[in-house]
Amino acid sequence: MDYAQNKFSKRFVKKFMLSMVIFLILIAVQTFAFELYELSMLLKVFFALLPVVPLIWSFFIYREYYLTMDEYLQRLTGESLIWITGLVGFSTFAYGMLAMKMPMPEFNIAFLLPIIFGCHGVIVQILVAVDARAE
Amino acid sequence: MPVQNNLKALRAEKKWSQEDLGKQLGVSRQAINAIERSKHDPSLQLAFTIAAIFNLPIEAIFIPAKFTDNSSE
Repeated sequence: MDYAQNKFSKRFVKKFMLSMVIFLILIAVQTFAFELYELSMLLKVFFALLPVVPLIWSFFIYREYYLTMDEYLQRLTGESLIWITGLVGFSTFAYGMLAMKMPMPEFNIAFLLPIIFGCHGVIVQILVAVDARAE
Repeated sequence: MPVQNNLKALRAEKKWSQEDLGKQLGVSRQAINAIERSKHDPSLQLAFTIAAIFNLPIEAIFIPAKFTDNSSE
């Protein structure tokens, strides 16, 4: 998409990639801390939650980017968020309903956030493509 | 029902690409494309800016759906 070439998009990509690099570093720090040291409960909680910090930062980076988008892209982003809320909400609800009645494969809810991030990006691209499609 | 417009014809007269017009308006090429295809109704502010760029009144560019000839209503 050519709007990705504008300065806001470039700044967003740089900051977002930086937050992801920090996230991966903190995952490594967390893993080594748990593997190498006998941690107290307080330190276990601290190291377990450490990688959440860059993710919260990435959320604010995305919000800042959203505010720089033009009205059309903001509309598509909003529509995409409605889609992803529906998809995640209904799938987790359906999973929960099934889990109450029968044994279900385990699912780590930590994967929800990357799924939301990823699907949101894909849905925005689909919405842009649908609007741009020849009539 | 989206507002119809003749933005594409006006842009062609000026020999501007969608990206050229988008840069002047501070919006993406996708936004211009969506407006031209009547997939997106611009805000009042954006409509005024478009009118100012073409030096035309808003009603010369944007036509409410109920006034268009091919309207089904």
